[in-house]
Amino acid sequence: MRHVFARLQYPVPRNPAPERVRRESVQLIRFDEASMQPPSDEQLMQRVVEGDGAAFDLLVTRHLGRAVSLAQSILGVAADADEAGQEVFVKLWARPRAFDATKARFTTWLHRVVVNYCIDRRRGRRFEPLEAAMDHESPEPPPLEHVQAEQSARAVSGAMTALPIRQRTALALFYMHDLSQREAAAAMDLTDSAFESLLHRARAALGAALRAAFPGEDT
Amino acid sequence: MTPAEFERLADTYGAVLARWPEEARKGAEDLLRTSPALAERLARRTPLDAALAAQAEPVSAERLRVLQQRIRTLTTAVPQRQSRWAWFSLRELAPLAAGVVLALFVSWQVRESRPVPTAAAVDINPVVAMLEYDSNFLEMQ
Repeated sequence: MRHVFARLQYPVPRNPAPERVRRESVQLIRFDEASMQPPSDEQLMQRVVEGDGAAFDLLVTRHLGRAVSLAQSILGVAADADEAGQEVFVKLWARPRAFDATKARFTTWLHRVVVNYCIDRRRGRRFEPLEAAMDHESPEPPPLEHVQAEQSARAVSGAMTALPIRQRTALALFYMHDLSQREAAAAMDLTDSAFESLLHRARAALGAALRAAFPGEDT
Repeated sequence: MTPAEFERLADTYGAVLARWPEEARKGAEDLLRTSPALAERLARRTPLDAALAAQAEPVSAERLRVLQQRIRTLTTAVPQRQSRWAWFSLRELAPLAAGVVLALFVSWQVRESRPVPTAAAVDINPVVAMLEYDSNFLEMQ
């Protein structure tokens, strides 16, 4: 019965400790006492569920850069990316049980949360072209070998911005953040084949936009 | 793998075979060995791969430090919430569910054991009275 009442406490009194104490705690949990290995993300999430602010800080230290960088690749604006990173981690703290270690690795889950946040945010803000309208065949790769790196980077950035958000997300996950096809599909909650199809359309659309940007350079 | 399939995969996953799905790599490597022209066509995807990879901007340490501080401040003010359904597990709900089922069963039994009223026993006087009142009222009109 004591077990039942222990679980009935709501909200669980887990106010984070003052900053100084938390920072010291981070030092203490850098290594797992038993294995002398750094605790895994999943172990840290278990401690976050128990209200451990230091474990949460360590997770933020490990993954905030990755989350913000991914959000920036998708949203294209640094301030929006910062807000995305902040929102995602504050929600992670507030509702840590949303993560289920039996269903996915922490990084896979985090990618998915960031992607969903970015897609929701972008859809709420402006009109997105239908993906079918951007469906091109790609007869030739774009002629970037003849263009200065800086110029091509600018052109790619501009062309990326014009893509539908899901195509942009697929390119960002696979090409910019080096996720495998399977990891990227999981982050977008797609089957492998659906992700492959989306990535193909995205790259074809990008190639078409770049060929239009450099018409005289085509090989 | 046919050359057309190879081209489609190259247009999807780019020039680095190591990044292709594992199940497609073997066939692609076999095809490349027999067709140098395909290798040359594959290499033409490299500039776009590189331009895309260069789009990933690292986040500066200072920017991360500021963000991290902001998150720490916000989470100090935000209490953690348990999932709505985390209060109970099924095991803990079982006695309650059993009680509800028992109560429903008992009430059903009690209802079944009542004598069924016969037609004669049904009191229709209020209805008759109401109809008579209505007809009297109409006559008065």
